Amino acid sequence: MSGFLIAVFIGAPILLFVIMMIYFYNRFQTLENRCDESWSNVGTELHRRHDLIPNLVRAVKGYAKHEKDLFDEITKARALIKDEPTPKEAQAAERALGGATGRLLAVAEAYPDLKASKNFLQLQQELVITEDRIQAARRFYNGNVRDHRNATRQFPGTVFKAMFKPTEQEFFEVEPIKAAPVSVNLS
Amino acid sequence: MSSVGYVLAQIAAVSVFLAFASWMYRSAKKEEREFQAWAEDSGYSFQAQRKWNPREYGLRPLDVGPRRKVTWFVSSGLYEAFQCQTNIKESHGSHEVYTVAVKKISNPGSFMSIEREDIRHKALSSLGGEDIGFESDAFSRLFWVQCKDRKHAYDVIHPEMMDYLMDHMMPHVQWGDRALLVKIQGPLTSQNVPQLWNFLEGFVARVPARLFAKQT
Repeated sequence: MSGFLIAVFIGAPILLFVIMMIYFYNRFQTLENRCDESWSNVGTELHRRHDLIPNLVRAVKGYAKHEKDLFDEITKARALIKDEPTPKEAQAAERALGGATGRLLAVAEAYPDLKASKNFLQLQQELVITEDRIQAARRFYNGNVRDHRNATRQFPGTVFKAMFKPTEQEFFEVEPIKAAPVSVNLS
Repeated sequence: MSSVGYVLAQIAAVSVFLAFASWMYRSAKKEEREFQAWAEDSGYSFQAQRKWNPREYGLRPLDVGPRRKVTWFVSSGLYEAFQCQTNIKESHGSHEVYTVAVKKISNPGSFMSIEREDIRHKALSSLGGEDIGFESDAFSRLFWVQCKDRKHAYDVIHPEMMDYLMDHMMPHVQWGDRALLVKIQGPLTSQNVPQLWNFLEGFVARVPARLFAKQT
């Protein structure tokens, strides 16, 4: 009987530890997959933004050819964009691109003909929708990163973090490009 | 055992079964009579109907759970395009009166439940229950959000929606395939009908239009 009790006292904590190990390993994997998946969603939305900006530049170029410095700045900012950036890299590149595009839209304000052109208005509408989608994807990604950080930085997750070494996840912040107010019809 | 003894044993077994079934039936009837008397004394127009089926709208029944016996359909009213009704839930001799309002609206994503967080949810959460956390700690502490599609929950519950839900503090909101439901404590009154209607309208107005655009 005493042998059985000793086995239980030794075996039960070991079994509990093994169950917790399996649980935390799977939890870290799930959370990492969620982060990866939502980061790829952010990438898709940023790609929409990158496709849209050259069209905006072309539209403004037709009216404000002398703004060469600004066009160069946008070209340089676009060159910073990598194919598969980390959140930190994307943040720096998007900040530069967003800033330059914001200035481009401010310049466009000085050209009433450009502001009234159908093509430019349509591009602005698309920009509003794209920025909204980027912010939604960013919130979701950051939510997943927060869950991952909570799981790895709270006890007993800290114990298993040292064991499994899950990839550290980074938050992603990006300021939306402020377009002049336009009415968006989504219907 | 002789054949007579065997037959007697069978008769005894059937008699016990019948007595038990009869006792169950009588207790259910007695309970219903008691409940009816209580409802009438409390001023409700009682109808022992169980036809209201939240699943019809892709919603989850509110009367499920180990200690919840029956949801009684008591009264209903039609207010423009939405339906509301008071339910009285009887459990272990105590009665809970609550009203639900349902507005027909299609859901472009998965079923979602937004419930005021209680001790049960906190316990579930500590055991690894899948509550969706949001960037607002205040909101996450107050509400228990469940949705299979986490992205959809994030799309619907944006910062403005969180403020809206925290301003109104409704005990339970559900968004099924075809309807949005809100539950409040207490009976249906002429005051809370517009309140429920406005809440549902306000909720729908705050759902980003791009979600519905995606659907079409």
